[in-house]
Amino acid sequence: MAITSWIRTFPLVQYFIAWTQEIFMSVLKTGPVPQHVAFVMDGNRRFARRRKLEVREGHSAGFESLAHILEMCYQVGIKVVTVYAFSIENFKRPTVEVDALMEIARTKLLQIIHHGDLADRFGISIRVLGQRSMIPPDVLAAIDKSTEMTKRNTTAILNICFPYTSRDDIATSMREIVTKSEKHELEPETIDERLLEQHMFTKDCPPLDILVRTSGVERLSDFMLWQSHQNCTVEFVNCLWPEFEPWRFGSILLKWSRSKAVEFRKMEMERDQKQL
Amino acid sequence: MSPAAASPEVKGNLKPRPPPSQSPATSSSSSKRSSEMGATKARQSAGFVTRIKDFLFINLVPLGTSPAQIPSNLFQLVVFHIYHTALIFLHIILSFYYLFARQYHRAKNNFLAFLYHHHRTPQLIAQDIKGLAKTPQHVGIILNYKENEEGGGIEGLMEQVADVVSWSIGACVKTLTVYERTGKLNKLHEATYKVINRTLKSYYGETIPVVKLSTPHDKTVYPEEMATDPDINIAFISQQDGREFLVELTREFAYKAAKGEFEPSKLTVDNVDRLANQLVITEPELIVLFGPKLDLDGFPPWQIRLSEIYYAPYNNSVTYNVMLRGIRRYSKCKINVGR
Repeated sequence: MAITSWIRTFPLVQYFIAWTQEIFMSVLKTGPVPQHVAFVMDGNRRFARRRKLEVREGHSAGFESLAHILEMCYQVGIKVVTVYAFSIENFKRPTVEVDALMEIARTKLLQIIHHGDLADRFGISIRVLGQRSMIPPDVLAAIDKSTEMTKRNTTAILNICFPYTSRDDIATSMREIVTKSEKHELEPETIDERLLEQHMFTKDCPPLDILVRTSGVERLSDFMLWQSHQNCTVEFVNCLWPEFEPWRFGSILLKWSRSKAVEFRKMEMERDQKQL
Repeated sequence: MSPAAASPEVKGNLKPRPPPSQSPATSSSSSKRSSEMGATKARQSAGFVTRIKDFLFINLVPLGTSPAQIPSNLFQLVVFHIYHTALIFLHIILSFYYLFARQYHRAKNNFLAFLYHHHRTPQLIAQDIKGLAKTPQHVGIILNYKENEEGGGIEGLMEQVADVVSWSIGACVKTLTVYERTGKLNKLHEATYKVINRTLKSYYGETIPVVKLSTPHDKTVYPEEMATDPDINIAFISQQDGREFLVELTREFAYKAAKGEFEPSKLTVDNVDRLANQLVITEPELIVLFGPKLDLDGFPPWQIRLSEIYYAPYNNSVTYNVMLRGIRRYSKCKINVGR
């Protein structure tokens, strides 16, 4: 760790790293590319504890990490990135920390949309998924402002799940459909998986391709249960979120790209055999 | 209404008509044969160019490339192929890595299988899990049906279930959920029961533990009447207990709500959870995958909220040491909802 950070102080090394990353992403781009990637950004607090920092600084380091990942997603052409920022269960944490998290959310949201920063640079439109009714008014104002200001960006979408749980997502979707049925707006026979999906928070997004959870915890913790339990690559990574470095994400993308390419090659071979 | 409004419509209808009515007349006339020969030649050469273009820009571009990346001119095409060659090279390197990793993990699995073996004695299993901070009460397993393989087929699936049941009883598991995507075992309680009891005999001798099988989807239980409480409950579930269950639940409530018999606001997370627990299964504390990679294969989404998911990379068989490693992993995990 110490050696790598020492090497990084050399001139041009940073430049070289950025250049390598860009080339690698252009290479990846020529193969299959995932459309929708989700992250559970786990381990900010543990990171802070290990380095004897304040919890707040841990969360800030996590935000830096997210900025890096968003840059990579932009380079490789991923359409939607969904991150788990705050669970409904997180309201159980000490009030001081909940308040601190809300404050971070507010300032970071405003920072993302700040002119020339993240959102503008990568053409990201921001959406906040979750139970709006549980958000304090000042944070809600920041959310509305950021969604309003970035809604014209079309390159990519950043979904911030805040406060979100997947069970709540599913139950809300079911409730909306039943309410529509009560008002006789739809026929109960037409209810199917697609209809449920169309009432979920992720309704406008392509299907989830990769779900990454950091900090070595091998559980989904109520995140994207419906979206990830089939036809989705789930990756549990054994490092804390602020330490989730570009090469780790790069290797995940390469693995996915290979498995998809193999799949496509099989499809091609089957098609050729049929033609023969 | 007025003729002025109708006229463009008529024009639009008439415009495409003339060519087909003219073309048979021209083609049938023999006087234009020579010029036709030239036209076909031109068409052929044009076909040749377009065919080359198609080959370069469509056939040579691999399947699965995103539309935005498909090159539109020659320069882009060359750059695309340089990069794509690099990508294929990286894929090949990754394949080599997988080759070695597979050997390593196979060796590791074999070594662990040698180190930890149940030897069909429950005491050994009890010893293996002794001293763990906690053990799961409810374990879910995901099995894959293999058709034309040794140890495959329906019998193979039953043998696998029987093995896992024997280990689970040894590890004090109270509920075992067996997920198989297509639900091959859902209706075969009697046969499975026989196989399980035969296997249990080889572990426990004459006084074997009591097992109870059920298929929540069909609401069937086997054996139907029991003298004592079972030592382990085994539930067989399949893909239809996942998304389909939630869809059916929604449909049912939608019918009731349409008749005015149900208040939609009652459809809360807690109520859905209660129904999912009653009608399907409760949430497993640990899910063990016996496949080579992390693929939940459609396991009911509602019930995997906090389940610890364990799989052994490159493993492709239902073995005791994978199950044991899963239980050990679970004993170390710390679940704190939201905190």
